[in-house]
Amino acid sequence: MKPAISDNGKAILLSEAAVGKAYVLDGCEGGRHLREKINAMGLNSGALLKIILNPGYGPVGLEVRQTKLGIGRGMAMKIRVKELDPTYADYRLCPGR
Amino acid sequence: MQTIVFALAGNPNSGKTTVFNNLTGANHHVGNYPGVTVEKKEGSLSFRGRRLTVVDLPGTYSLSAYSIEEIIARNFVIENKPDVVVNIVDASNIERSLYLSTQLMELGAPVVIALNMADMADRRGVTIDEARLSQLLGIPVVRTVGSKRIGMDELLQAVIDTAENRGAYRPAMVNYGREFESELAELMHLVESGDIPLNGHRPRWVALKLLEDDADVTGYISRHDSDGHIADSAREGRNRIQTLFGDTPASLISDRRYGFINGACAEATTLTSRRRNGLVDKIDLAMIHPILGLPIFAFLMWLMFNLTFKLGEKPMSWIEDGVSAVSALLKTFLPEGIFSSLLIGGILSGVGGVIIFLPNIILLFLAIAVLEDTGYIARAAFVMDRLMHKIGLHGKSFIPMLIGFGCSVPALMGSRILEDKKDRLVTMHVTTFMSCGARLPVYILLAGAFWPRHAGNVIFSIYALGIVTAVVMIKLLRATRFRGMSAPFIMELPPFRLPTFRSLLIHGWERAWLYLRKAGTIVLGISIIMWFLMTFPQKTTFRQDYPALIDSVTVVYETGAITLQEMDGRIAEYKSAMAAERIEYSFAGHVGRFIEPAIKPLGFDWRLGVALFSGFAAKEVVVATMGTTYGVGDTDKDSPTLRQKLAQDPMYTPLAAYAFLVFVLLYMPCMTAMSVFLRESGSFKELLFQIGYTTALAWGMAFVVFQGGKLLGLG
Repeated sequence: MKPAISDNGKAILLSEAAVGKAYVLDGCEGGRHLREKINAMGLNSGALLKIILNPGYGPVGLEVRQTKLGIGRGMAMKIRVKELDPTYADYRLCPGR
Repeated sequence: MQTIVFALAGNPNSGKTTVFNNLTGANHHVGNYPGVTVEKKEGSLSFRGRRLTVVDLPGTYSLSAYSIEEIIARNFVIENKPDVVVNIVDASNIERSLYLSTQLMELGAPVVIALNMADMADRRGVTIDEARLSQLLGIPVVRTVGSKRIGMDELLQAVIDTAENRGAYRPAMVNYGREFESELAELMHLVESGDIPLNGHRPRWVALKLLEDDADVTGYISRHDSDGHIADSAREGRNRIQTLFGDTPASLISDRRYGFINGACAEATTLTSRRRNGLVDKIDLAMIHPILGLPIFAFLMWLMFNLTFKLGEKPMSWIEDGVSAVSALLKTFLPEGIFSSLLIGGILSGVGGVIIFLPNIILLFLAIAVLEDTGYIARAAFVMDRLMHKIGLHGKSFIPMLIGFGCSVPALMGSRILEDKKDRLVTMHVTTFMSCGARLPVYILLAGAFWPRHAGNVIFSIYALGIVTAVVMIKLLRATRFRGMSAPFIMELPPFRLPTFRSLLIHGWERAWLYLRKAGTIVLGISIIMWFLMTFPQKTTFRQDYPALIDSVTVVYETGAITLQEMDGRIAEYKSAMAAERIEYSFAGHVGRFIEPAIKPLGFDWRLGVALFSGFAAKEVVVATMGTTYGVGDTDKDSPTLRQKLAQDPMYTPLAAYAFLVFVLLYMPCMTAMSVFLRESGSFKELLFQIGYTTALAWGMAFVVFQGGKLLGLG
């Protein structure tokens, strides 16, 4: 049985997300162009992601739908994410969830 | 018999070109970074009695295209309407890849999915049941492994079956939910009942695009719909959905598409194990590490240019010896005269002088191929994003710039991956400073002549200077001619892959062949012209009677007053003085004398000026012309190599040589690159700016190096 997804309910900016943790994408403040672009690259609301690099400056590195992406800081500041309950985190990052 | 036209569409880096090469036998460039293919390519083949035309499209993540290569892909699929669209799906990345598939399926053309790199997915612990996936999507799914030519026949058969039974094609449609679907149905009805020509597009697709507020489709409908009621209904529909769901229809559409994909993946894929290579992940993290990333990049560049010189040294000297031997042989058998001068002094010194560097060129391109195939290039772009952001571009610009170390032409074309026009132009304007392979022979020649022990580092310093100049110029251009913010940065980091031996072999072979072809055509042609310009008009009366002087030296030697060595030395002096007078008297000499005042402050004499001038045709020609300058009038059987001649020439100091390297690095691009620049920028003004500012910069920097060096006592 698939466990239900649970996040901690608190939305933060992707630019503030912590390395190694898993998040669920909550929304995007950008314009239409930006949204279409990130949607097509696998980042739509509800997508699950894991941060692999975020030194606090420069681009953010993350994993979503088995792909690694680099996202510029400016763009990362327009994307909202919520932290996932660690029990389910790894599970939903797998394909065919 | 009709030809079946099918297109290869898919995400960047999903292996479209590899499949294209397999199908057509072509050898198009492939690599492991997004944006290798930026132009559509056509090929034809026959299979089981049918003729097929296949079109390889640039990669795209969706049909809402923004950058030029994406627009090329989108327009072909939507407007040219191929008989079948083969959607290459990276199996190890199936969820994201299927997003484009759902869009393609909504269009009119039947879609066949090639589940590519299926072996890699297996290795990563993802097993895909392609029969089940095909059932769920309602379209054929074929398993392929492009790099091993697996599944190609099955793919072609599926294309033919689909094209010949279009009636049987029933793709599954994404269900967008009850409310959304009823809006969709209403618009579909309006679109169908109106007399607007849909050009073969499905009404459902048109209605969906209207709800999504796609600029192209909405504009098209507004132009053809006289009373505007379709556009009005679409706007009302959009508003209703927005109120109901609190989100735009476009976002809703993408969410539902992913929902559909997740459902299909849950049924058709199984996760056997979540195997990861820990070491590869660690290396990957180091490559993009915020602190380690830059030093790693600098080290790799240093390694690349040093190895290019060091490993190439031996084979280079073999070819050099070979050319010298041929030259000596010809001098023995051919009578002195115009013909032998053309053959030896013109062609052999020019073309031979260029061919010597073949090993270095092959090594350089192999190194670049390794960077491309492993996926490092995208990592370098990631690392550079922070710096690039500070100077007004983003990391993606660094991809075409790195390609520029090979050749400026693909680099200029590669700038198509940038969406913003200004970003693109700035990138194109600095690409030339990423020193191309054609300039490498000049560096190796001079560095080898003047700094034989540190040649590798001297060459690296020139490349580094090029990168620094590019960075400074980006900042300057951004602050002056191209003000504004750069487009947001988002880029895929493709998985690390080991380059295949076959791919490296093809790269090396291709480059060797291109280089030799260039030597046999453009370099040969220019060498003959340069020889002519340096030989005619012929001088008949000289300042001194050199033949008589040579005779007298021989007589003096016979009296025993001088040694054999002294005699040889004087004869050589007289001969070279005579050759110098001849060449000064020639057309090239006159031109050279004319331009000399302009380059004198840089430490160059007129011969270097003529060499730089001829480099307009192709940068390798600079070396060829230097060879011809020294080759014309040189009739000695065992004359030293060009490197030795340069090192011995009292006209040149190491300081002047370095200033010359700086000039070669920075001055205007070659003819071919300029024509591509004009085509890609679409602006004659930009081309003139490019030629003008690079050459002015080259002059200024060479001046600073030479005069500054002299002040410091280095000259």
